[in-house]
Amino acid sequence: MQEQVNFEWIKEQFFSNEEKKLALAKGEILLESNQVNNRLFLVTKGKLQGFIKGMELENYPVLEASKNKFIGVYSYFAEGNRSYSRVMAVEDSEVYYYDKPLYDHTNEEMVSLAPFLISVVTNELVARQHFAKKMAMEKRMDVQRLLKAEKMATLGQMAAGLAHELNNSIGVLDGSLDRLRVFISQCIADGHFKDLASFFELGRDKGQQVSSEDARTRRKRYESLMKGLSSSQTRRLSKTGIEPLEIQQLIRKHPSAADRIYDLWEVGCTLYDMQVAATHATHVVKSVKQLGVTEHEWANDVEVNDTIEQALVIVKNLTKRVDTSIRLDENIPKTEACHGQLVQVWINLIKNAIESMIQHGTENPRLIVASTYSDTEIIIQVTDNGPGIPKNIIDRIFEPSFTTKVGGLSFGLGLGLSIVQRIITEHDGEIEVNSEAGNTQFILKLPLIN
Amino acid sequence: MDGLTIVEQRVIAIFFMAALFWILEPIPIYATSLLIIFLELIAISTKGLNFLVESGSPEKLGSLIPYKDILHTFASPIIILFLGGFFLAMAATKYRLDQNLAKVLLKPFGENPKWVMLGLMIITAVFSMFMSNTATTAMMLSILVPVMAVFLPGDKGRMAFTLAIPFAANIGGIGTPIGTPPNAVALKYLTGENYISFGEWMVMALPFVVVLLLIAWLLLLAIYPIKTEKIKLTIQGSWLKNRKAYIVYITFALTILMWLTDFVHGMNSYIVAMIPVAVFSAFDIINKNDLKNISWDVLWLVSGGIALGLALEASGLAERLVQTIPFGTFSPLLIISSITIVAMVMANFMSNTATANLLLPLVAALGISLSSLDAFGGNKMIIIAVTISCSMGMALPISTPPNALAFATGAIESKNMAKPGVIIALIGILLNYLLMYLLGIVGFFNVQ
Amino acid sequence: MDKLYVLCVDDQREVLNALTQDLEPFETSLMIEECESVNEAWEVMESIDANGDHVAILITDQVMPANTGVDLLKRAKSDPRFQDTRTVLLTGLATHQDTIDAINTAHLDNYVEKPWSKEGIHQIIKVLTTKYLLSKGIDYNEYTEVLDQQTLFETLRKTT
Repeated sequence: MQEQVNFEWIKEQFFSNEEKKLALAKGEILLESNQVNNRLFLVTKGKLQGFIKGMELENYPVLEASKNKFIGVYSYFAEGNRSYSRVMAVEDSEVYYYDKPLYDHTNEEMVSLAPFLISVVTNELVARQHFAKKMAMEKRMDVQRLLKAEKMATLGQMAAGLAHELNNSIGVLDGSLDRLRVFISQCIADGHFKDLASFFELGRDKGQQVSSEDARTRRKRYESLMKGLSSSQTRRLSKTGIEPLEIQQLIRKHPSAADRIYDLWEVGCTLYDMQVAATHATHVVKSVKQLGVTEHEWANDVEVNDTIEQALVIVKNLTKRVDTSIRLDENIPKTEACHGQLVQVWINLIKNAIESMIQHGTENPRLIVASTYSDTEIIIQVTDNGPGIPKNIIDRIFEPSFTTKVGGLSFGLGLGLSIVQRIITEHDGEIEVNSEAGNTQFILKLPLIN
Repeated sequence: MDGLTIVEQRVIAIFFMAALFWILEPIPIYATSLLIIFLELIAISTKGLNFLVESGSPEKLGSLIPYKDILHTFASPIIILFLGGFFLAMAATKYRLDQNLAKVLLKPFGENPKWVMLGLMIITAVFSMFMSNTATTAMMLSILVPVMAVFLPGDKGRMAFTLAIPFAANIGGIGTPIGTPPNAVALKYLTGENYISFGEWMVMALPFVVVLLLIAWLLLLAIYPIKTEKIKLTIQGSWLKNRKAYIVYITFALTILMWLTDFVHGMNSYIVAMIPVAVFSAFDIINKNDLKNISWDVLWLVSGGIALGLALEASGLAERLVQTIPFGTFSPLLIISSITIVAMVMANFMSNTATANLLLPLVAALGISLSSLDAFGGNKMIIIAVTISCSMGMALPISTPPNALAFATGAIESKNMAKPGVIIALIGILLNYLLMYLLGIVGFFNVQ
Repeated sequence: MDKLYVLCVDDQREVLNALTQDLEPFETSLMIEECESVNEAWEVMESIDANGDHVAILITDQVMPANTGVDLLKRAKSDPRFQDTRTVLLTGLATHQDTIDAINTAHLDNYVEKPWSKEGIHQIIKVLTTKYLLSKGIDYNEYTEVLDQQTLFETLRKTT
């Protein structure tokens, strides 16, 4: 062996003849499948891939060669000299070739060529093995991705199915409740208790507005003003929010009225609570439906302020626990959007803000929801004075299944902000988050389309 | 010692058994007391076991003690006095009078550690005059321990504070007849012409308590200087304002007032002690569940001591002993100093009450027979001197329950306690002598 | 007759209403108080105590805004004023850890899962009231309708 066999040497010796150079444009075929080939190619630029046809897969890649890799090793050496794959340039490429067929070499030549040939074959084997491994890995990842997508799709479908079923039931409850309310109201107004109907109506229209703390102070007034009442009567009456002076005369005249007033109020209250529960359930079902996608009722005359007000109604239970101020610009023009989805967005943002303040125990919790607009966009800001979003997680808050809430109690948790982002993206809008302790602001910009 | 009657011999046997048991504690000390009473009942009482109390001629047998007298020790006026104290203390704790008082009293002492410590000591001492030293220490330590973290690492002030409380409790106990059981035991021997009222006791003991308390404060500050600059003790809770609580406040004040003013109304302290017992029971302030929490063991321990004294006295043994040993030839000052030091040493290694139980009957007999003591205040003087010495046991964790509690906080080691404890005890003994001297001058010991 | 309070703590008003409705039969002997948060409950407990009355039973939900039920129970048990108060955790959603905490550090007397049964809660109230009365040494004869005989007998057997 006269000289050191290395790649540079081989390149220099066999693959440097400018006459034996081919330039291939992207997509150009170097070898057809089953074509006779007596050349050995070295890629100097670009990338080529070998495909086989057949089975279910069109053009399944079986080999790949980039700079300094060989092509045609199999067919050059094999019996019959036929290429088993179709080799195509996947990028603009250049190859040099060595074109003296193996059978034309003398024995002496073969001996001196041996190091060269061994090197080429080894190189090829390694390249193919790497390629095979890479393909296997990719395939596995593909399968996993597929499974996950399938799972999510199934969940979504299940959720949507569930939501549909529940929606029907809630519809029935809601409707029946309405009829029942009308009927009971009528009965009470006309019937035996018509003098006390106002107490029923109080419960029916307002629900229980008294906090346990207020009830306690009112109870003391009841105890001092009406000595004849039992401890359970004062406790119950104090919950109605009715001042003792209002009913003192009545109860003095008809002692049984004490129980009756509470009973009627409670019936009203029950109706009210059922209404609230039905509304809440409807909202929950809507959120679930959002998970299962579908429902895209876009309209070109959506009033963004309406969507905000609707959201506020749904989360009333929460907003009453903090100092909430609403500043909506009444002149905001109508725009093209999906009404239902926007409501979802506001609900999620408001819920997040209030829950974080409550959980943190913020003093004087305050929430501001404001809307305004410019020539091109509508801007909505949701601001709270809660603990703020820690710097280390602010980049992750829009990821699905990210949550800071302990226990995962409130519905749709961990999906809230990811839903928000998805919806806003669908609207071609933008979300901006500024957060520090005591001041967290979500700014949403929706394009104004009309 | 020839010519001892059989009864006298048996009393000697019981006495030595009691001494051994109280010192070595093979059984709980209150059980020893019960054993004393039981043995006296069967061996030397008028209704004892036949073959024990009917053997030999009456002269040889000696004088038997009426069994009722022995059983009466369970309900002797001294025991009732203590029971009254227990009721007061228990109601005070139950209605948080103690904690709320501590809160109010501690306020003027600010946040400077030195003054806070003085405040703690004064409050502890005052409380332990009316409550048990142990309960007072437990309460005050529970206030102190949560703030111990403010002391800088290596600050000896931590030890100063931890020691201040048990020392103050031990010293404070001297202040009233119900402050600590030895005082009650002493009352048993301060009868007749030597009688001392609740108020008189306080007049006599209070100056001693104040001076020794101040000395203890300065000493602790000198030995364990405080580096921390600020300490803030917070005591939770607010005054209870309901009928029962008011009854407790009023009864508490009234009882103490009555104890101090017996010369006005004529009721002695034993009878006054029934006021809280009766009132608190009648108003369901101390209910039957609370009765379970009364330290019956302390009461019985004192009963045993009284029974032992009774046996020594009634059998005539005490007198005979004193007559046999030629105390008369000794210098009275030597007698006083040696017996007070013996009392102090014993109290350091065993229960203060047991020490008083053992020593006071002997001392009482000695005082009566020794005319040379009269110049210094006689029987009354030596009983009081020994009683005060019994409260000087505070050098070791085992000396008193308050010491043990402080030791259990882990903030101090035995040697940290021993150093100031020994010094205070020695100063206390000297101060004791000074007190006796001054009391003699003002005529406190003069027989009425 | 000493006033014995049963404190119900839940941030959901509907639950409080349902619970107090179930407890109404006891209202002749016991005082029922409703609280919507842990802080409120604590204030009420302190005022009951300051009046010299008794917080006999504390029934609390676990999951509430700000402080949890277990927080309240721990606080109560570490306060000498409420050492004898009997505790019930009434919850639909307590994690394993919460429960362990409640038992180990708050010495929980009873764990009730939502939805509760009326009879079940009645029995619990009786047993716990009896235990409270006995541990406080209050005369139980005045509370016959809320006494659990079995508990009473078991305890009285051991006294002299």
